[in-house]
Amino acid sequence: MPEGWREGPRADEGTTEADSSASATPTAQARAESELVERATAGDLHAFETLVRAHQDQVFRLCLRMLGNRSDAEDATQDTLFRAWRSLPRYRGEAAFSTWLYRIALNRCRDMGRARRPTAAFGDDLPDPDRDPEQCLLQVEGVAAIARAVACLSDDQRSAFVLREVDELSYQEIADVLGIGLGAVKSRLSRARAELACQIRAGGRRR
Amino acid sequence: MSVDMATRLECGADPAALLDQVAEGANHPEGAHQLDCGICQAVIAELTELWEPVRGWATQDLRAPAWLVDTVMRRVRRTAGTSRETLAEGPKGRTSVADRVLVLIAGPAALDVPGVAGSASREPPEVVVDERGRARVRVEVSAHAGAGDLVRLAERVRQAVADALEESTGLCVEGVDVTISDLT
Repeated sequence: MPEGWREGPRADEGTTEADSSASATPTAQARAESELVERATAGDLHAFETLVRAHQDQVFRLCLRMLGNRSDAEDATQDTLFRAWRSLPRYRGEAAFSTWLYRIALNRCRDMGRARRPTAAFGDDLPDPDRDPEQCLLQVEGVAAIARAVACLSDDQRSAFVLREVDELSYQEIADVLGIGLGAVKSRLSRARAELACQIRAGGRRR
Repeated sequence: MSVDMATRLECGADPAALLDQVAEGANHPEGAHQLDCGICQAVIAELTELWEPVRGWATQDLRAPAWLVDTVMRRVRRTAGTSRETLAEGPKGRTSVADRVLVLIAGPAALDVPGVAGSASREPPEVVVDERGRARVRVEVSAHAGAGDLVRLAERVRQAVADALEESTGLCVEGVDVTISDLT
């Protein structure tokens, strides 16, 4: 068994810095997260679990919007978080932990996307069943049309688009995740939006 | 009106830039021109309407399924091989078992129950021990088609797993969740 593996107290139990992160300033949150990452890297599984709980939704959202269906997104999210665990010793903290996770997730989505074209599933975005059925149908059709149109974007365009529109990352954060310049981010976003506008008008049909 | 995104408007404005402006929710970055330009205003109105469903799509509340954390952590623990439970501790030393040993006790005990056809999942049984030494087990099996009452079969599996763990380790088994996920 490797030296240094240990199971410390759960980071979401007892008195730890992570407990106060909900009401803490962004800097304090970053510090608390940095400590969690440090402990997880040293083999503290409870610290890693806390990180997984904190980031699983953002990773899942990104994967679902990149891949277009829930089943693939669940697989990609699991793989991303598991790969993060295995790669933790190589994480140097130069980028934010979330930025690093986004990179792993996008790589995984690209690998899966090479095997199959993204799809736009209808069942992933079911509306509130209490709403008027006609409104629900319109909502489902609207969401499906957008999902079809997004699936038609190139990987590069879709990555930038999803990070901006869904995850609301800044241009600089997108540049960090994708490893490209600010100008390239703006250009990809602009082209993605224009392409999307054309696709939406065309009813989301594949080119 | 349906603006061509690749062609500049009659007034000279770039429709792609107007779409960026709409998507970003920005205010008139090009200054006075579009404030006074009917063409720009018409295109902005069209693009705003066009973009509305995109905004709805982008802001949907999407969350990872509740089981995902447990599944990930199970993989992590199995790889790490670090999880262990203390069975006894005294002045002369401590006795611990790795979690995988508990799995190796629980798994065969479940599979040996008459009526159980085999493991139904690639995932091994899960044994979680809390701070007070109480174990909770999750096990997934397939049953023979003629196994009869599946509720009783599950009860026999539950008892066999609890007995095996308690006898081998002295742990108090608080519960055994049994899933019969296939009939063969």
